[in-house]
Formats: sequence, structure tokens, C-alpha cells
Amino acid sequence: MTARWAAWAVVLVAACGGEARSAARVDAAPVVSPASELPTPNPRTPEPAAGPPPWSDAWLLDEAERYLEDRSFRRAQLEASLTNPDNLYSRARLGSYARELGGWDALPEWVPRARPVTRAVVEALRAGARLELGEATPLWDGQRPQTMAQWVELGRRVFFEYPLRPEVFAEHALADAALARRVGLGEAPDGTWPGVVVFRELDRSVRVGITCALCHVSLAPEGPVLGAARRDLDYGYMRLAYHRDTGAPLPEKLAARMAAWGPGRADITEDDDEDPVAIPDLWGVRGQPFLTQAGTLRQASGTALAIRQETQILHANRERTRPPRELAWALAMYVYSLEPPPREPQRAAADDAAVRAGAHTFARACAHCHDHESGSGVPVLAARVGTDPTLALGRARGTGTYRPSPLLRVAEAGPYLHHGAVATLEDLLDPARLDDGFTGSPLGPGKVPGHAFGTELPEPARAELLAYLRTW
Amino acid sequence: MGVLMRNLAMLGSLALASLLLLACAATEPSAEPQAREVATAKPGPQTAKPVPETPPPAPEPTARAVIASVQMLQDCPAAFSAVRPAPREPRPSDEEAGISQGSAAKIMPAGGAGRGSSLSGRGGPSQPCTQSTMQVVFSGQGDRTSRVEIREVRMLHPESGETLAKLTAREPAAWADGAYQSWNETIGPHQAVKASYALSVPDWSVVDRALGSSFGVMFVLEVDLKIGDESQTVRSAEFPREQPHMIST
Repeated sequence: MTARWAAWAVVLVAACGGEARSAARVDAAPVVSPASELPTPNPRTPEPAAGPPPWSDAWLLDEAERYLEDRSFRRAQLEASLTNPDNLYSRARLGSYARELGGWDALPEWVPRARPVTRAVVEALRAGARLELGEATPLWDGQRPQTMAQWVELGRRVFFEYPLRPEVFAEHALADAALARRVGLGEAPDGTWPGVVVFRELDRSVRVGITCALCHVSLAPEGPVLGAARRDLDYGYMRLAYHRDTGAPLPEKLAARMAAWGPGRADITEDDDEDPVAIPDLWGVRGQPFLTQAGTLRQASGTALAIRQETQILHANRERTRPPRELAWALAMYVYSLEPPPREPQRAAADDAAVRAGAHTFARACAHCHDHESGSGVPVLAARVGTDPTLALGRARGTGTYRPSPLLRVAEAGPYLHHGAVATLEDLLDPARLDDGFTGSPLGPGKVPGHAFGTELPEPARAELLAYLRTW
Repeated sequence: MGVLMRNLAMLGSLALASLLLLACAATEPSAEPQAREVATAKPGPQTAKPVPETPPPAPEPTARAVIASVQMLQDCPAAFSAVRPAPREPRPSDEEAGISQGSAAKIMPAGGAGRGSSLSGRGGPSQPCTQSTMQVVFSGQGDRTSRVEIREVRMLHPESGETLAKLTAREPAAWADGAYQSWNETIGPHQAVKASYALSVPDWSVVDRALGSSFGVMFVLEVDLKIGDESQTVRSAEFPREQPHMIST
């Protein structure tokens, strides 16, 4: 931790140097979109006003009322948050969100009745029994929370229980023990299966649905790790297995695409681009300047994330209903509450000298992009990053850029890069991965170009940088 | 004294009436933009006669319609919406089966996941399908019960306005008690109905030929409908064609 502060001190000193730091940032060329103006250098900077410090609980609680009650505020915040108004993500929202009349605001609010999948549910599925919901009550009683603790608790329920959509593939996988294990579905010590629920669908049928926790809770032997990417979730395999087992046909090309996703990756865009991404951890999101791997959203306030959650839920549920905004705000507050688990003691006691040296290397070679306290930063032109540009230049989420990845627990966050093409942190900094003969990528043999930053370092400096990165 | 009181009462009534008239006039401008944005009135069949020189003032519509959302995915037979997979036969563990890119392609027959293919009914092997829908909100404004009729649904290119396809809307449902339930397409006096219709999908090959690709572009839906005796045309916001296999975030 001391080394991290040392690195930040170096960054601050460099910042005071003025010209030198400016040169570094110009070199990084953090441009957001060919179709939009350059981003505000620090979009987190709030308007100067007396009041609670930005991103504090009190500041967020003040903003909750405006998000919940003021349509024009939501509209303005949406417009301010979209880095490229011309991609599909933005156009759909600009066309339908917070309009004076019609659009998504006119959809009925839906508070689902859901309950976690438990061992009893799984056993019923394996016996071929009919799904029963039992005495499930609505997820929310309509009482608006007043304190941050209440918001976070409501958000936890949304995160684990609000069905994003019915998922016949997960239902199929749950009915087979080996398949469930293979695709990353599992039971937590409390007897629930995080990420899957039984719920009453919009047509009153009882279905298995998926929730946020499917992708953003990992199942460690000691218990679920909240906010951690579920890197053994193999959604493509789950779908292929359904088609294989039921005989339902699937186009050959689509089957090949799903097979290529592998664990921890999925396609998240509605178009036909082949741009699967690695599931990210959800730690340190509060105050991050930009959201999503392609930097699709500026996050100037909590409303940016709440709108993202609100529109994501209604879109996932096929735009037939919308969640009460209280649930979207609660989900955002829950995500803000997620922090990495405590570090293992032996990691914390790593070689201090190497870590200190690595911190200096980080400040010199990395911090001009990874300059936020979470390790994230202002998006950088995709051409400069040099990785596969399909997502950054795509019509669905494209901004022309990639966002510097957050670095919290980066040593455990492999596979790396937005598309999960590099297995280990050592490989990421190894110049060998830039050569055709590289065989270490989870995506198959061959070079993994892009993000060459750090690969040019001499060996001792690389090892020191790795030692430092392991302290995040 | 009685005459004075009567005159005072009359004056009071006149003042009240004037106030009410002023209040009514003040509300008109706010109603007008709404009408412009929601619906472009089209002449119904009964007004197809020669237009008189001084048309009578348009009657207050019995209901307003506005499109809340459209999602363009697939078109599914009705039985698809609630199907569950059949219990599977015991088989070697999936680790042994080892679906790889090559074997996955091998086990999947070539050709499309076409509409209605390989469905043996509820509980049997079923083709996953996600129905395209449009959601329309009707706000009853009159004192009569009116019947809604969707007359034509067109998918337009958002820039050129060109009609790319004609679609059909079916299976009307209305939101009630926390679910969409079958709806007889009637609107009661001053009733608001949040409705949902299943939509057919275009012949995508035609759209692909016209636009190069039907993915990555936005469309607009234009719907001719009739509420009671009045015809309206409403437009949706932009929407894309979506692949059903992704988890959109």
C-alpha cells in the first residue's frame, strides 16, 4: 500500500511539473469519439458548489431525489454521459429515454416475484418436475429507502434477484450436474445458486431467469466473491449444449462463434459483429471517469450508472416493462459498495524494494493512462492501444477508443485486454506475445497484438512492475 | 335588495365563467404539441368524400396512442413463449463430450434456425425463440368505449423514410395485475391501456439487399391504427435489429 501511495506521489509531482505531464497526455491521445468532441479532461469534476464532497454518500443521496423525480434532469444526464451519440447504444437511448411523451417512460413498471434457485429447485429440475414459485413476494415493497445502507441492501436484492430475462439455456444446464459445473453454475454455502432465480414471467409462467450475479459473482470454495467476474462462466458452451441435447437446430456459423467465446467471455452487443468481451470485475466503480471497455459512458455522477442499469434491465427484458427507478438507483448504489476482498497476507508482505521500484516504473510508464485511483482512466484511441479494434470501432458500442482497464486485484483478473486474449499478467508484459509463434493465448495460437506498453521494459524492471501490480 | 343580490350573483357567475374560459384557453397550447408529437391524423374512410371548403373543427379524439418501445428479434409461434426443455437422457459427462468449435459445428445441422423448425410442442425439444414486440400506450380521452384496430405496420428507414417492409401485429395483450394479459382491444372512457403486440419480422434478405446489412442500422416503425371512428398514424423511436444470442449490457 505504501508503494501505491509512493506511486501516486510520483504522479502528483509529475502533475506539478506541468509541461512534462501534458506531453505525456498528448502522447496518450485520449480521444473519445470521432463523432463527438474531446471529453472533458476530468469528467468527475462537479460544478463548484457548497455541499457534500463529490461521490460521498451524502452527495449521492442528494442526487437520488433528482434522478427519481426530475425527468429533464435524467434526460440531461443521459445526454452528457454518452461519449458517442451515434452508436446503437446511444441512439436507442436518445430516442426512447426520458422523453416528454411516450418512449420507455411509458412502459409499465415491473416488480417481479422471484426467489433464488436453491438445491430443492435444482433437484426438481433434474427430476423433470414442473417449476413452482411458491410464496415469493414482490422483490420490493414500494418503500423508498432513506439511507445509503437501505439503498445498498435493496440494490443487493436487485443484483441477485431481479431477472434480466428468462433463460432456457440456464434452466437446461441446471438440470444436469456435470453440465452445470462445466458452464460455471454452482451452489453457494448458503444453499443458493447465485445468478439464477425462479420467477413469474410477464405472461405469468414460472421460469428460470438470470441476474447480474451470473456474471459478476465468482464462486470461490470459501464462498461467493461479490463483484468478481465469474471467469469460469461459459455462456457459449451453455447454449451449445442446449442445442446439442435437444436437437434444436443452430446455424453453423453461430455455433462456431459461441464455441469461440470460451469461459469468461460473451458477446454483449446486439449487432452481428464478432466482438465478445471478457467479463469485468465490478470493484471501485464509484467515481470511475468512464464505464465499459469501450468507454461508452462518461460517469460524472451516480445518475449515469443508474440510467445505465435502468435501461439495461428494461432492454434485457425485451423492452416490455421497465424497473421502478428506485431499483435502478439501488442497484447503482450496490455496485458502488462493491470492493475487492481483503488481500492475502503473503501478498501484502511482498518484497518492498521490488514493489517500490515497480511503483516508480508504473508512474513513469503506465500512470499517464491508468491515472484514476481505481487504475482506470480516460479512454485512449483504439489505434494507439493496438488491440483488436472490432468493439471500439463497431456500430453497437463504438467510441473509437478503449478505456484503460481498472487495476484493482489485477493480478487475479486474467485473462487480460478487453477481449480476454492474454492469459496471465506475465504474458501481458512479455514481448513474446507480440510474435507469431506465441502459443499462450486462450483464444488460440498466434500473436496477440496491442497494448505493448511495458513489453519494452528490461527484465528487472518488468519483474518489479509485476511485483507492484500484484499489490493492487 | 333582492334584485341587487340577483345582479351580484349574475356578475359573479360571469366572472367565474370568464375565468374558466381563460383557464381553458391557457391549456390549449400545451395540448397542441402533444398532438403533433403523438399522432398525425389521417382521414378515415368516412372522410374520403370531397373536402368541404370550411372543414368543421376536428372532434376531440376518443383516445391517443403512443408507441413506447419496439424490439425486433424473431417471430415465434405462440407455443414458443412458454416452452421448457425436455428432461434429457443420461449421457456421458459434458467434460467427456467436449464441445469444441469443430464438434459444435458438426453437431449442428447446416441451415438456419428458421421459424418453426424442429418444434415438437410444449415440453419437447424446442427451438429457443425471442418474439419481436411493440408496446403501445392508449390514453382514453372520450366518454365512450372505443375499439382499437391496428390497420398497417410499416418498418421505415429512419433517414429516408422509405418503407422497407410491412409487418403484422397480433396477440394483443394489456398490462394488468403485474402481467400482460390477453386484451380485446377496447378502451373504456378515460382508460389508459399499456398494450403489447407480437410483431412479425421483415424478409431480412430484402432489407439486407436494400441496406447492405440489416444489423448495425436503426429503423422506425410507423403504425396506422383506428380508435373508434378516428384514424391515427403513430411513429416509434429508432430501434435496431438485434441478435437474440447475446447478453446485451
